[in-house]
Amino acid sequence: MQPIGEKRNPTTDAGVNGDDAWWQGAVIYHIYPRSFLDTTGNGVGDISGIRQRLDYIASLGVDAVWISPFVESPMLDFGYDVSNYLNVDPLFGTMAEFTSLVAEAHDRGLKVLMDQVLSHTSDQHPWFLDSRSSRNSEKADWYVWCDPKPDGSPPNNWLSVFGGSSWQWEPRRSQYYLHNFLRQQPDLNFHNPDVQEAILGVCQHWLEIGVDGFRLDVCAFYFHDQELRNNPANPKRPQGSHFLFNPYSLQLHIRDIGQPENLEFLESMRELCMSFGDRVLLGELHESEGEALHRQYTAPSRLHLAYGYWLLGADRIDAEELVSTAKALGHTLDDGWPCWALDNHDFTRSFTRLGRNKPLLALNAALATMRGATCLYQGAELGLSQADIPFEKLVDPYGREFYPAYLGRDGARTPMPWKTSEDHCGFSSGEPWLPVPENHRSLSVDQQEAMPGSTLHRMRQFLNWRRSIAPLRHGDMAFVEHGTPLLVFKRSFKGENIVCAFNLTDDEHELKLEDAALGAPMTGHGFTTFRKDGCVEIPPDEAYFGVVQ
Amino acid sequence: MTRLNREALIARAILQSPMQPLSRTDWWRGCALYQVYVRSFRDSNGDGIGDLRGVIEKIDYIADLNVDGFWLSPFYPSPQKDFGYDVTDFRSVDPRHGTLGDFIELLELAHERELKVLVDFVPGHTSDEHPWFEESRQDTTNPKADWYVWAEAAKDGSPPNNWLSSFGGSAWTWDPHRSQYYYHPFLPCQPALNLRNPEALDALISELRFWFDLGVDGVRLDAVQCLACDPDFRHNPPISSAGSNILIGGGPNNPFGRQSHLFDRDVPEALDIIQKLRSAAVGYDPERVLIGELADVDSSRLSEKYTIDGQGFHAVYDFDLINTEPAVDALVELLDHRSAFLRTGWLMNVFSNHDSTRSVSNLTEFAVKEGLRREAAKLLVFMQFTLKGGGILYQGEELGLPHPKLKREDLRDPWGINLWPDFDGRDGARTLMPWQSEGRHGGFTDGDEPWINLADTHKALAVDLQTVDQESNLNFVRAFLDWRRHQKLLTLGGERVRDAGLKPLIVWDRYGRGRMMTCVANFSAEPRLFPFGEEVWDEVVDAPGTTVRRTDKGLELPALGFAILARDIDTNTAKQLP
Repeated sequence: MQPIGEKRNPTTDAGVNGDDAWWQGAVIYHIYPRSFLDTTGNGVGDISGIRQRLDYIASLGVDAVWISPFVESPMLDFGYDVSNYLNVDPLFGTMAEFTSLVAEAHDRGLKVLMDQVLSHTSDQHPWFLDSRSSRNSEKADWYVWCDPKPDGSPPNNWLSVFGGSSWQWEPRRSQYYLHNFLRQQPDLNFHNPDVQEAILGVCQHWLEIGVDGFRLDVCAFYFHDQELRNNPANPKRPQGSHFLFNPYSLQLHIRDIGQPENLEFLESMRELCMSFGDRVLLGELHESEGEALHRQYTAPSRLHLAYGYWLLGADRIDAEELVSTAKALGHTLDDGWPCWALDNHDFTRSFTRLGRNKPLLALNAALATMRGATCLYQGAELGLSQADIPFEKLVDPYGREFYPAYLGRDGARTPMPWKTSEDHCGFSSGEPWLPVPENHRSLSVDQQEAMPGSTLHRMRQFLNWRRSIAPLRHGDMAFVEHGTPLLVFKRSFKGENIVCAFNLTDDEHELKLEDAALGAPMTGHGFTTFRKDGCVEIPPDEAYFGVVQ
Repeated sequence: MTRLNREALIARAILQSPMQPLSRTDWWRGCALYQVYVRSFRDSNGDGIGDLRGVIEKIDYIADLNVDGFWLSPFYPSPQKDFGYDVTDFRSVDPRHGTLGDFIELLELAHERELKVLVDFVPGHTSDEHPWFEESRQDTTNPKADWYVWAEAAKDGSPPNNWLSSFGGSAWTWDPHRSQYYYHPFLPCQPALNLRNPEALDALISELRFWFDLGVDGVRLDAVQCLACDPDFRHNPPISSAGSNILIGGGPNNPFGRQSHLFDRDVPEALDIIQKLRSAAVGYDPERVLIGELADVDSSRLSEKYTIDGQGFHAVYDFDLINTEPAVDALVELLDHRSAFLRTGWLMNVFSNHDSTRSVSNLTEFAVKEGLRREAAKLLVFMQFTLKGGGILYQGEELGLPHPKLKREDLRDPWGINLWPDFDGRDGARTLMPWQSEGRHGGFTDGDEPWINLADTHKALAVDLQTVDQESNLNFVRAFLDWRRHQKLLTLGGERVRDAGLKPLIVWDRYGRGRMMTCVANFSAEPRLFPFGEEVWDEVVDAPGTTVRRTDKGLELPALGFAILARDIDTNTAKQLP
């Protein structure tokens, strides 16, 4: 058991109940290694770069890191197309460097979650090279193959997330294969027990190396309908620019993904994790019906945590939105645990996306305080904006496909600005794979370290404070009726109760409750409010925390 | 617009008076043309890519082949994703290939040598980087919104119908700007123009006239089977279980071949477009010539429709000879078919081009295996230029180049890369022209890195070696075409293909004005006798390369040998000829 507030115990055990479960309410710092820190000068970040900045990460008051893919890949989808699950890509470093990273993170009390991209491989993976070679090869059935329809066209209407049919013709077999993303990302056939065994073997390998768990990429995409039935059209065709650009949203994805067999497989994964003292599974759920999926996917014996796109894709987030999402996901004792995420490598940075063009300290604090874990994407602690990248510099295949209706993911993947006065803000001594935006320079880590009250200091202060308060990590959550646009809830754990109130609007609001319900104001979190008799005045982007009996 | 079905059109053509042998003498009937694939012909500036100044350097080489003219593959500004068949500006020259000034100089030099010049014109699609498309894709209301073929997604978000690209995959690509699909019969970077839109057609025709005004003698029009598609976007049915007799590129299993292309190829709506294109050529003196490339369809059968005298194209350039099974029965059937279907129209004979397997490896692999490559190549040239229609000789064919075997890493062609290894694409016909047997890159470039490699097997067949070898393919072609250009029966005469009873001999007659030439080709690697039977010839024609050894029983043809016999014909005989 790890007492809250004491020096962290550098173990890799993760319990399943109460304050033993580090993952409940954990803050997970999400590292996109290509853009974190380059120590070799080749313009691409690397494992050594992460090792050099572990003290920085630990200082933020986070519990774990999730590292985007660093295993061997032709990098057509920047590592989400794996050609060898068992080895570090030379671009990022060596296996020895990675095991050192794990040990050094553990020394600092940081858990390490590895990104596992299991739904599909690269078309350069030896499994696929064998599978496509003939219909009789050893791994012939490891991917999803199908004859064309009599008119030569693909077997059904399934569409790729990245545009076009999700079926690609393969002349070597005279068959189509399924790919939910790029055609260079063939979909593994999880209906084949050999594939399941191989994938579990991959996961076991990394658990033995000592990672504390996995972030599971698109974990509802593992299985497909074996009868290959068409997806129905989406009767509620979503409107708005986010959906119009991609015909994918015109289908209800009930056959190509989200099949019930996914759940059984996740139970096998969980069993494997249990055999290592319950290492943690954080699943990525796709957009449509993510809330319903969440309840199934985070039920006992499945995922520990899951995140959907509810907030990542939103252009506007207010208290009402957060309350209704949390209610939909469920926040009673029996419900699974969500992982709140405002930013990641796939979505426009919230600074820009939410149209407020300022760091959203209260919103970030709210997400770190609501029941659930939180992902903090690198750069969010600096209040970085989305980078503007001209088409000729875009490298993301998703963005290049749908430009300019959709600008792709590169604007959220630009390198971390470390040092204000250095070339490329100290990210690399060479030419970075994506440019460092000039307007990120003044937000560099060194500048913010030197400036009291900077976004970095505020985030760090808040996260470290929050970490020491057990109810904010493990407690139950109850929403409080108050009649204002504020977000107000109470977290309770082992007899400790804390009321939390956040002003996510641009106007000051008064929270009027009985004094007993408002409790005694807490300090140390960095927010400023005015506690009066029977009320608290909360200015815009501020938050109140009070201890109640 | 009236939608005539194809049978009605063919009937209309047949009702026109059939052509009498030798009755029309337009220069292009029965002409010999040379196809220059500019990219691989000669690089004058060392950047690794062939250019117009390279063609200028070699203009006398072309003239010395004794052809009537040449056709240049596309040299327009292009992102080169399909090597020039994705045009961004129809009125200019890609800097990689030179300047418009270079072109004008080449045109003048050619005309001084009495060589006609044809350019390749791509009417059916542009590059997706063409300003027209960039404007059209902006929204559904811009002035060029209807210049390309746009369609809403099906209800479930999938493409509007089942049409496939012959290069692999759906023929529809989603465009996020308009939230609509656009149609592309070939690569997604080649959106199809909507030529049923009068403004788009007028704009295209003014681009065409730009070249006619400059003085080019004609155009080879790319992929005229795709000038229009079904306005209702009806689904293509699958082919019958018996399969299709139409040979489709892209390898034996290309899914494109599983559809009957009723609605995306050769649709009735194209005919009005073709007539407008023809009108654009008429106002010039001499009239500019339109040679339409017809592929993916039964082009021998459909040529009549596309070349109805005075209304359609002047001639069709088809793929049937390229795609035919390399067997005597199949060849004879095809040649007879071609002859029979042409009443008023015209077909050019093509055995190789930049899209095909080189002919000597394609049609006469049996002979290449026996070490008879040179003989086989001469036989094919003989056939090409004694059959009715005239021919277009593809660069390197005069050298008898075999088709090189390429490795996956050597491929540059997106079609081959898509369909490898079922189909290795078109690069084998696009390797560098071998000018010199010694030195790097066969004398193609003085630079270090040509865009594609010289085939090893082509070094020993280089121009410099063949020039000094009297028995070479090159010297045969020069001599044969020099002799042929004065043979009116061969350029303009009627044709009758005899049945395959004498196989492996292929026999056909050319005739007109009381005289007949009978051509005999031994399509085998064994010597064969051509028996005279009851027919009496008064002459064994002593043409370059032909066999003249006659005995009492007949003509003794060596392996892959060929001969021409001639005799007078009386009016009665003439009446029985087609």
